Amino acid sequence: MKFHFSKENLKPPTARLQRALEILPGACSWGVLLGLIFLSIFFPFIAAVLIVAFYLSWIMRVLYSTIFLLLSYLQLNIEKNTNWMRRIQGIDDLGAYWKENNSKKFGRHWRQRASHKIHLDQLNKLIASKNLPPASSSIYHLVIFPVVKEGRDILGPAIEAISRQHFPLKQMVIVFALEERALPLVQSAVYELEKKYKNVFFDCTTVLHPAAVPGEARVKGANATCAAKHAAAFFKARQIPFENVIVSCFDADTVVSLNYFACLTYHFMVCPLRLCASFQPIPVYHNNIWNVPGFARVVETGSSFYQLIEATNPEKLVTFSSHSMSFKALVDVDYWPVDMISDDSAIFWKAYIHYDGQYQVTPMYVTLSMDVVSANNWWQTVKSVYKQKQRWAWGVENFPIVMRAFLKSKKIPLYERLRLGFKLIEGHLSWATSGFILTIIGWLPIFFAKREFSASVAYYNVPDIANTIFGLGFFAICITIVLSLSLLPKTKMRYGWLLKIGHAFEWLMVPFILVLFSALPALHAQTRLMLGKYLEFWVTDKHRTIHKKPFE
Amino acid sequence: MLRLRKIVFYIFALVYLVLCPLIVARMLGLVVNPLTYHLVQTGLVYVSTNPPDAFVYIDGRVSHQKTPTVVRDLTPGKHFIRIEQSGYNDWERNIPIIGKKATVLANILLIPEEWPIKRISTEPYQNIIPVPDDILVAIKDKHKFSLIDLKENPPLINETSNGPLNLQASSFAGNTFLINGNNDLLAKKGEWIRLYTKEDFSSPQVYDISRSKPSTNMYFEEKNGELFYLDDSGYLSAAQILPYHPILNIPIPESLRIKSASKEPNL
Repeated sequence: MKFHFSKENLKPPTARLQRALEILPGACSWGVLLGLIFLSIFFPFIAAVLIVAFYLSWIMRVLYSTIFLLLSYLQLNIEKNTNWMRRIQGIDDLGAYWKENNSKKFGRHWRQRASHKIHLDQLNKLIASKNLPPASSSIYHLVIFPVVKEGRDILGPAIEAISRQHFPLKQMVIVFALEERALPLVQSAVYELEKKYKNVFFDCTTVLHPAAVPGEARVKGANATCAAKHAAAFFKARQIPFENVIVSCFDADTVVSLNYFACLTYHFMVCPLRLCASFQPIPVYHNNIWNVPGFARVVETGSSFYQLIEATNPEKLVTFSSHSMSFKALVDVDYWPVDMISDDSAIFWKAYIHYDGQYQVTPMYVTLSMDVVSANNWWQTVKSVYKQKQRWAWGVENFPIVMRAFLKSKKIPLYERLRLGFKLIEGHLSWATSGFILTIIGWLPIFFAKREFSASVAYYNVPDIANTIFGLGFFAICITIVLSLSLLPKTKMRYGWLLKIGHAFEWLMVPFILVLFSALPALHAQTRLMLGKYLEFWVTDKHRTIHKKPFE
Repeated sequence: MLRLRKIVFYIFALVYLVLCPLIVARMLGLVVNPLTYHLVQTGLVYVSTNPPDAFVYIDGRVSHQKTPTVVRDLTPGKHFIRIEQSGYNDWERNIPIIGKKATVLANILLIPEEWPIKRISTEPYQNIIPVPDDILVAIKDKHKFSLIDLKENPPLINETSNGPLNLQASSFAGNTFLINGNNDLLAKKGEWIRLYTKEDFSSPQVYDISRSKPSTNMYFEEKNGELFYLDDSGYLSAAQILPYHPILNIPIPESLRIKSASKEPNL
């Protein structure tokens, strides 16, 4: 479907619809919060019933998520030692490879057998689709690093990690998408890296994005789009079909694991609809994990776990942060939005609408590591983490645009439109309100209790039920702590085990984090959208005191 | 994984749909009567005692928690509640329970089987008058009184001097005065009784005794939970009532009730 995926340059009736849909998420969130406060004061019985129903739904959701967090973590472990290059080469000669794999048992360890079973299922689906992939030797990777203020200390490890990939480097093109407004120091660092790695890869180049292009906002998507257009010309000139190119748009601090591109190539090859697909790895924030305040560690580990849980549900998976996709799809949808902040999720919706719902995100059980937001001091880090979460929550800007498309679309099934529309609004509503209800509003009926309510059975039963539910929640947190400790990178510091024990206790900050770094920035973002005070792109502070190579 | 996720999702959704109304009903006190299989709107009783950690028996069955506790699922009607604590007298009542409502039995004072009582004074008094700052004015006779500072432990008794004193039990222009050995002055003018507690009467600490609180023959000192009273022989004694924390409006046990409690000192 041809669709104008932007809030700009709309005809008056569409602009009014866009505006109304912009107001909706914030209005819903405020409606829920103020409504509950009102009920707590004037109709505490009704408020108590609603709050208990909410608590129960919350704990069911937490337990449900914990199950899939465990399964997802298990799958991450299963695929940890997979030889992706061997599999890629096998798919090149699919017939013989399938026979070989199907005829004998693989591996002694249960992990190897489980991995092999998943692999066989993927091969069977690929063969059944009859949509065979190009040879691995003809698949190219385009990696775009948008750069505006990241120096050599951030970019260096990122590019170095790519230079150590198992996948042939001569099939990889690195593009530094450099903002013209970047400081000279940053620019010179980028050009130095370009020079250093020029001959390591198929090509390594820098594309300078002009500072003020009409129709563009100061957003990462505009910069990445400019670089992708140059890359398109590059591939076209060398007669490399876009169908054979996979593009990865990475944050400048993204340090990929050694087998990332082999794993990505494998998933691209076995995905029957590979040209209408994005590939989502599991982001972890390990680059500077031991150099940031405890609350920031917990916040980012929580984000990684959210992605792990989401990875188990490809039907609802939306691209997030650093990810990869078919370059042909990127060109078909006219690249990333150039006027939106949440380019990572927007590109999925843009493609989903362009392909009338025939677009999917394939989860990959491979990690890439990024920086935890960090500033020079504790208070600045608090502010930076808050701003980053607000920027993530600004993904709500997709809602009005996607809804407009859903209202217009006739090819996307109604059920899918309702399902995804509900997921979008419910996700943002829950993001902005859950933390407040769990920690503050849930106790208001007791706090504001007048004589009638305070002399009721409900007055004494609500705290009792809440305590039981929170007890179960604590059980889920304990599982999260164990997984968190096992995911953390090894520290070379003396008494590193003490740091890990300390990290376990940091999870006790979850109630504060839920409000300060989840619900509040989300509500802030929705309120801004509701009031038409649009957010401007803010480049996250990333600061490393000790450089580490997390995958070594 | 996708199929598993869907199966688990529907199971959880089903569990939620079943559990939610049950938990809300429980919250509102609705339970199924196992005998009649009818829904019954139950009530509850909240019990806290002083001292805490007492056993609660409702209709002869012990509650699973000691006080403070909430006993739930009580059918409407009268229920016999007994509270037991070792070393204290049992507390028993028939409590009416109303469906959907909570009956609150807060801070039930458990009476010790034996009161820890100690005699404070070495001489008998006729009357004691509490004044602010935890001071007792103890009237010995028409000529003598003492000030007893309860803030001290044991209470400090400013003994009345036995020697002849100016103005000791004097009347002047229809007013009555008493001065003790420390030159504290107790004055009565009509219905007003005042205590001046400084030697220099030009800037004395003045207590309007009869205005501030009616005088009785007993005084409950909240900080240490002690009840000060005159025993049958007129000696000032202290009963340790609350070793735990102060409460207001304590019921005075029958055994400690003094028959003669005057409102004003007999000057």
